[in-house]
Amino acid sequence: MTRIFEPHCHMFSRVTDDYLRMAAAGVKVVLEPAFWLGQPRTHVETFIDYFDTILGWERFRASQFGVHHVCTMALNPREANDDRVNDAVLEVLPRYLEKNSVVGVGEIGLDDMTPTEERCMEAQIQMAIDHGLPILIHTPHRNKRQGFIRCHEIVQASGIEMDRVLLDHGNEETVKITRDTGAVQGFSIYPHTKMSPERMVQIVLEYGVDRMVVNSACDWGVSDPLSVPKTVDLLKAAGVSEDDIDTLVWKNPVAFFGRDGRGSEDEWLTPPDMDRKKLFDGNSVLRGQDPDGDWDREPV
Amino acid sequence: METGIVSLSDPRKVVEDAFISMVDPKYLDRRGEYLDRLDADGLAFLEVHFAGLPRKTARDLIDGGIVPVGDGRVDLGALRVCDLFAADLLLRLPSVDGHLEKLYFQGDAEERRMVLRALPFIESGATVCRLMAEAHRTNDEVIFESGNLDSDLVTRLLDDDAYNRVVLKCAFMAAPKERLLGWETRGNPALSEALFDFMTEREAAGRPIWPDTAAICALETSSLTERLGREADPTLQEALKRLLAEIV
Repeated sequence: MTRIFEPHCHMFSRVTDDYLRMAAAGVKVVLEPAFWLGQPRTHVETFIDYFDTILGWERFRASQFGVHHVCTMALNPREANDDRVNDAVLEVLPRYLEKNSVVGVGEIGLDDMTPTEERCMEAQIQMAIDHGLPILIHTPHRNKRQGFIRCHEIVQASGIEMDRVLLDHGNEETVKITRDTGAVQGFSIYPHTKMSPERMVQIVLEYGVDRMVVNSACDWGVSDPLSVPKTVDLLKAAGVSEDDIDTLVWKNPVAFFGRDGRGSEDEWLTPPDMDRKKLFDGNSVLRGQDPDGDWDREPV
Repeated sequence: METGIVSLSDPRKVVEDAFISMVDPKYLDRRGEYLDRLDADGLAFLEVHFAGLPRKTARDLIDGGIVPVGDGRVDLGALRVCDLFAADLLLRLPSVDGHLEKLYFQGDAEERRMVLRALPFIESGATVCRLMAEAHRTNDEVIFESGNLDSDLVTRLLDDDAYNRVVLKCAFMAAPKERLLGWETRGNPALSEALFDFMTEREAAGRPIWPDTAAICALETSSLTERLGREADPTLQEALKRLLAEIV
């Protein structure tokens, strides 16, 4: 089975069956970028609790299904525009960037392409440089080409090394821009809106797999946590070699995020502790079920 | 495993000697870097970089034993290299008041573990007791152990009620009594009776009994002998007789 590092999924908003299915489909690691929760937060404390959750409980929850969980931390571009929280979140971020399962700064980037978004993006790129972390950049859903170019300009001006930059949510248009920048290009295989598995296959056939990663970007919306394994199946059917597929869904994201002691191939290929008798802060995922029982059933 | 490696009990001297005699010399340069940054940036440095200590130093246990520290004792062999770094840095703060709890409550499990492992080196006071109680409150074994075991903090600082709860949790977790340094000085009637009740609950459920039950109950048998006189349940009577016979 193809081993998969899923470099963008918001498991905070997913159910345990998703973890079961992902593990069964070869997902060894999920990366959870800090993002927005569907409605605006109004206090910095709610960000802090969210950050602590994706570092703590969500990581434990993933481990109970045999999946490693890492994350990137950031003030997301959409909430960067909200003066009730933006500066206070930027203030607490540095201490989160030293946490042991934090492997990058993200999602940062642009949404509406406002001056405030740009200020927050620049500040967070500097934090990434200070803490030796790569950055995961969310590119706008509206006016994507222009947004991609502006993100790239901000990144170049910052002085961060381009091999530490992942420009996400790309498509056929943006891949032409990214190929010459030295940055890694992310493609979110997201039903109906971002990119389909079929379109991704065509991109791989045309451009290869160098400096590319694919993800599901699954969240609380209509999205598919299995879109990477499904894309893998289509790539195989299209004749893409096992080695290239392994590079796309494992080696590239492992090399990008597994730096400076913050995770490695060896660590991520060793299954996490799945002892179901263990608790996290007094809580388990069992909801009263027998730890040795049949809860590890086939998902519905 | 008394070693007597460290003769002076000043906490900073204990940590200093541990770095010299129990930690791989390759970590000494890193220690110098951390101390320089702490001197330059103070608490702000610690609040950001405390989290990275396990990753940037080591999670290996140090090669130590039980040593005197301040008014008490600690088993250095229960500390990881990063725990020693944490204690070293925390001891250099002018005061830990407020800061220790802030680092604990904003920390992840590894940060909390480091704060708790530093407690035996910190001057005993309300903060130390609050964090020990917090570690006890969690049902996380590693956190509980880090805050309550492998030193004599529990036997020195807690009143009987709190002490008994810690011992009962040790019995529940099957942690050996030797990890409660000074256990032999702290028997009391309520503890013996509670351990007896726990033993009989376990027997009824067919589950293992804490092997140290008799040793702890032997410290204070009055409540058990008194109970034997008034216990009407023949099964419990029999269990009491067995326990008292084992103690004798």
